[in-house]
Amino acid sequence: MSLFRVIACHVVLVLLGAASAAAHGPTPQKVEESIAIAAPPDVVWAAVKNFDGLVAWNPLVESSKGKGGNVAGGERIVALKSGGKLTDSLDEYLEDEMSYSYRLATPDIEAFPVSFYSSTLAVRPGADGGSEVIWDARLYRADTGNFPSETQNDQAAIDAVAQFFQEGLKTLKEQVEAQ
Amino acid sequence: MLATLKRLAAAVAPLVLASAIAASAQAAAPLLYVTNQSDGSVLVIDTATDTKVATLQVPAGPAMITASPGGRRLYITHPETGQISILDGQAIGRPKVLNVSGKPFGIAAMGDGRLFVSDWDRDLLVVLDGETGEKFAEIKVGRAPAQVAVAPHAKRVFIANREDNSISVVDTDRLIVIATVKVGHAPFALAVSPAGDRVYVANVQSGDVSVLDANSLAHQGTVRVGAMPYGVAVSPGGDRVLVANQQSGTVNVVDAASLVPTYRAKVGRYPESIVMLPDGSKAYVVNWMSSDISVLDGETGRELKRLEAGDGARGLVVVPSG
Repeated sequence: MSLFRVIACHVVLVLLGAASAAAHGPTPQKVEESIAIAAPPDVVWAAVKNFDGLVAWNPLVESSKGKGGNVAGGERIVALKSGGKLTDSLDEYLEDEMSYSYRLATPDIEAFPVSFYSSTLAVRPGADGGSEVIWDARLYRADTGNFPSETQNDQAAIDAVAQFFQEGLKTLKEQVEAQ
Repeated sequence: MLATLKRLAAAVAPLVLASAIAASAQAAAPLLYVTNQSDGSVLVIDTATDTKVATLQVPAGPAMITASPGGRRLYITHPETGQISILDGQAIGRPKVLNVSGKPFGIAAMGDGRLFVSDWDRDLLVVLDGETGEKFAEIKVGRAPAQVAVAPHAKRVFIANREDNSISVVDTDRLIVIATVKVGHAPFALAVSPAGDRVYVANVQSGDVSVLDANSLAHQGTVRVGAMPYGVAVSPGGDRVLVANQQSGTVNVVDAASLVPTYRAKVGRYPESIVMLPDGSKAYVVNWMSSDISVLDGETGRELKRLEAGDGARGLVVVPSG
């Protein structure tokens, strides 16, 4: 097969395949954010421990209604102030380790350009009796085809999640340190 | 400066590798190959010393990796470019590229030179010649097929259909689906026991492992593991199964007879693929978020060492030397 035919074939098949958009095909992307807070871990944990309490410390969130509680299988519906709703589902809740892990169960790619993420939030002992909050995610862009637009590519997904985490952690720090 | 170093590394890598292969052939220690999806590279680790011996540059976005049964060739999927790269032991620094279109992801090789590759977007198992790329068949399987494993004696290939909560079973002679078996929620990784009698399927969303008889396809049990299991490996004797749990950052050791987890090792962050050495003495798991590799005692599961990997460490394979 000539190189030209290989390329031509490739283009046709890519166009045919573009309609299908199951997550996980592309390269997963990382977001890792953390913040030091001048308060003991148990105080910080108390502020973030309720899975449906996100609205209290993330300024980008309009509401975060939960069901099922702080156990695996529990859910929260995160309504964004900018519009759109994300449903997060808890996979693991470790009270002793001050950590929980969840995933995006229902995306809203027009409002938040991510097709899937799994994420962990953990409170760890920090310097001078303080705390460090670590919030990370493994995520896939909104358009999982091989030719995403600029608003639905890897960078757009990383930016959206990083901003969401940063705004939340900044507000959490301000609130806890003001207590 | 960095670019110069990278070029230098690329040029030197094959030579380093050749000497590493020679050195480990003497020691008869297998080599471990790890794909770094975001770096576009493959790490080579000598399992005798658990040290890095080379970094190979490969085309962008290497995901899953497998070896030909003899270990002479490595095959790597590149989902975002629709490619498979082939690293040949004779010219390992110069990958050959097959354009296969679609989104090749899971991959397994048979002794006769055929490759079985899942296409995540088109819901296919593609069967092709591992040398020429000639396509023998495109077999419709379930939605979002992820990992692929062969049971050569049973002449079967097993495919985990992530979005269909099932596995497809393909006959390697007739190249047709002979069965579709329901498993847990969102199966991604799977492994066939070395004796070929069992299939272990890790279900990401239900946090468990489905255990099937590889011949009758009967369910033999379900093992509850950690959150989001993304990797599974079976010991050479078939008595232990190791499961890497991405959300928990742990590896469970499961007793294959009782199907009870006996140990839970804390590893790096967001562990994925896991393999065992052919003698069962050690296991290796890639930690995607923390960009490192946990070396585990193959008997107890205890973590022995942590090795640095590249960005987006994703797949791995052990290749016996000699």
